[in-house]
Amino acid sequence: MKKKKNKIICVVGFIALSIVIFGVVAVITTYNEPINQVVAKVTLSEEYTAEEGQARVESIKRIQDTSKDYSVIVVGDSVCQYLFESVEEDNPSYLFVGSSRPFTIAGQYVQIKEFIDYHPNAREVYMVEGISTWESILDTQGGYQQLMVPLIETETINDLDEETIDYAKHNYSSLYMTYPFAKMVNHSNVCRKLILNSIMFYHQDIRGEDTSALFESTPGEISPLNQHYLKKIIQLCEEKNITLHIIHDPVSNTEQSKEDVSKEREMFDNAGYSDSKYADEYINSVLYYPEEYFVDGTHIVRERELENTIVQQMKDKTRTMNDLVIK
Amino acid sequence: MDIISLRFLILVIISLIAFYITPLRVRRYIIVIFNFAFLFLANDLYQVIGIVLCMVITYISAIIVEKKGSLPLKKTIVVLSVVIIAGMMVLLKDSKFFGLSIDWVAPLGISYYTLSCIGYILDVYWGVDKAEKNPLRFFMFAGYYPIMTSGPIISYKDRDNIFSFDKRFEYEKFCFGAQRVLWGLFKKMVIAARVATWVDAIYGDYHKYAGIYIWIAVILFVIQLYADFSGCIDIVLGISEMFGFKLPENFNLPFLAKNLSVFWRKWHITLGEWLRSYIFYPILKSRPFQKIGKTTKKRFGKRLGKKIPVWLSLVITWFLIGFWHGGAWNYIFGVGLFMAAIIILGEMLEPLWKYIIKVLHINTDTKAFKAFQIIRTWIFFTFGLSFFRSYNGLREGFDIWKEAFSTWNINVLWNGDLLELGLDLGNIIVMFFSILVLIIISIIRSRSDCSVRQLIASKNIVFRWACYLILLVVVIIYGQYAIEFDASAFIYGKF
Repeated sequence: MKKKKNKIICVVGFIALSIVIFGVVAVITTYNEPINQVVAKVTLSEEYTAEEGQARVESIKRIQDTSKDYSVIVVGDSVCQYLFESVEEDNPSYLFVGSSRPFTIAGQYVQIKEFIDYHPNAREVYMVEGISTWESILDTQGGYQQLMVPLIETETINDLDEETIDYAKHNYSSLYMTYPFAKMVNHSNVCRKLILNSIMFYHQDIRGEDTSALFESTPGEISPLNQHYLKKIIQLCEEKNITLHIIHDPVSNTEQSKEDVSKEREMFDNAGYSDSKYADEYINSVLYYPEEYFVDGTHIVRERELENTIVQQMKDKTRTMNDLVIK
Repeated sequence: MDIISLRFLILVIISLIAFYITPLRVRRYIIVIFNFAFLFLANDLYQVIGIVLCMVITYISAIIVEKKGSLPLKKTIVVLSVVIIAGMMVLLKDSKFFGLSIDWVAPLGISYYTLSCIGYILDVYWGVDKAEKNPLRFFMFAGYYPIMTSGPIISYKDRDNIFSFDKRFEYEKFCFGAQRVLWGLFKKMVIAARVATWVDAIYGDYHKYAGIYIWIAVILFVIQLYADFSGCIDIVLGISEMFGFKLPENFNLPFLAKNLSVFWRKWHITLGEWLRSYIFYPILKSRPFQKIGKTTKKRFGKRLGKKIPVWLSLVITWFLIGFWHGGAWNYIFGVGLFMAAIIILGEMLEPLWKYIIKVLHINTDTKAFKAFQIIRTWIFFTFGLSFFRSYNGLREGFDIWKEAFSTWNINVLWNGDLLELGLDLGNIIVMFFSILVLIIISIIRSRSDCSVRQLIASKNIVFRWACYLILLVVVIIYGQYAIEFDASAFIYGKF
């Protein structure tokens, strides 16, 4: 009997020891960057960096910074993120917080809501988007790490509807939707590797989903998630008497891009925005540029002069951002 | 359902809990329930029907064959059931070989349970086994779910030695089983998955990766196949050990074999034994072969004449080994006829070989000679396996060897070009270090009377648990699970 008891203690001890060791490694790598780097090297998780997640956290912190007197916020996708970088320093009243496709319109809603809450002088909101952002969903590869983790870490997750949070918990597990896990994902490479891969494994294995696509989406339609949060953004701006502009990303002058733009018109019509001034403004704001202006067909070549020219032309075409200084 | 999947893991955990919390007398039925659960989780409905049909045919045939009755009737039933069962496997697995195109996917484990079922019917017919009357008991061992994933091929006449339901929970067996599962996961997820990256890259574009790359790929493929297959078997045997069952071993240090015949008695042992028992010897003992034997003895003398039917039987058996691996000529040649040719040539040239040894005064007891024999076996096996891996056909197998000799580019070993094959330096280090661990463990095993697990178990508690913990961490951290998360998913973040 005593022998049996000792064996049970051994097994329980082993499990407890494993958990403790994992826990200690997780905590140390989360809070100590040099050790994180060493552990990342040893565990082959160096490439599991959280640049995007950390950038989203920073953007929300900037939004919540009341020491700055911002009155205009520009949110949007990755095209927007890079396009306005060069005009940022000359426009202290503008806050440019472009993000990425997996951040979805839901993430942008949180940015806008926080901005309005923290800046009483808020007067204008700009959304600079492309077709892929409207189609985006809470996907396996990016939804957790680029949307949920930053919102949990900045404690702005509750800006989202309960339904959205429940859906995310269902998708990524309730445990991973807690603050300690979000912190680990955003700061510890090895934890990030294990957690993100376990999410992938769960989706492939238990749910039998095809997760090979880098970005999952609802092609040819504004995803229900984005429709819901676009509606909320419009309502919020109207309630607070803030002007909302939705502007199109600059696109390459190709047949594919033109097809995409006409598809977008349909997407907005199908989502109930056929008479909406926002949809009209969005579709009419599109600017076409030669293919060589783009590095990958979507993102503008990173040259300050070119970016400034495009922003100027965007400004002229939409007759918005009147006080934006472009040097 | 893949053996490396969360679903399978959950099924194993639940079945183990259910198995041990139920009374001894109902435990076999717990296994039946989980066999069915596995069937439905891992297969489509038509595949389940196929498996059940195979089991039902086997069960009924064995009962009829055992009953007293006319021999021709028994023979007809045996032939008919074997043809139906084997035909189902061949049609579903290898229809392309016969120019047919059947879109149905073969049920999981068809290669394993089909052979076991055929063996069982023949054993009952030959009177070496008794037919199982209770259908649930029959399905318990015939459909035993862990072996459905990757074997081994079990002989049902050994069922009483394999499946014991009269023992209570044994802590040591359970722990040993868990350790073996972990070791299997290490081989499959840490070694095989990494090696596969290089092998796939080279075989996928062998015109580009000529010369030394091909040599690397063919050598590594042997390691990949061994790590993958023996890893799966370790997992299956480990799970069975956790249930308290003792399944037959499928590998016994094959790479230390001194010739191909011995090698194949240590590699995929259960398949070799099955073929020996149900193909090779029955063919040899058959009337036509007895006649051939008599004729050849008259024609070629007693010594050679005796061997000719044996070689003929060997060729048929090896053809079937190749065909079993896949109904395509690359398999039939690579792990079938080529192996037969080497074994037969080896036997034919044995007198010459002995003469050379005698003339040159070679001491066959030295370590160097033994090493030579091992390397020679390894080369033959590797060559055969290079055709096995040529999934696009036999021609690809020959093309690959043409490319292997087309250029001399040994410098790729140190000029950094290997880093383009899909593994970074860290992963390459992990791959080779893991292979080294595998070799060391094999050497320890070959030199010790007991298993490595028993050796570890005999050490002090700290060392013991440190070993388990390290193995667990290595599997979790370095293991590659299916499609991995794309670490550089958002490439624009690096602008």
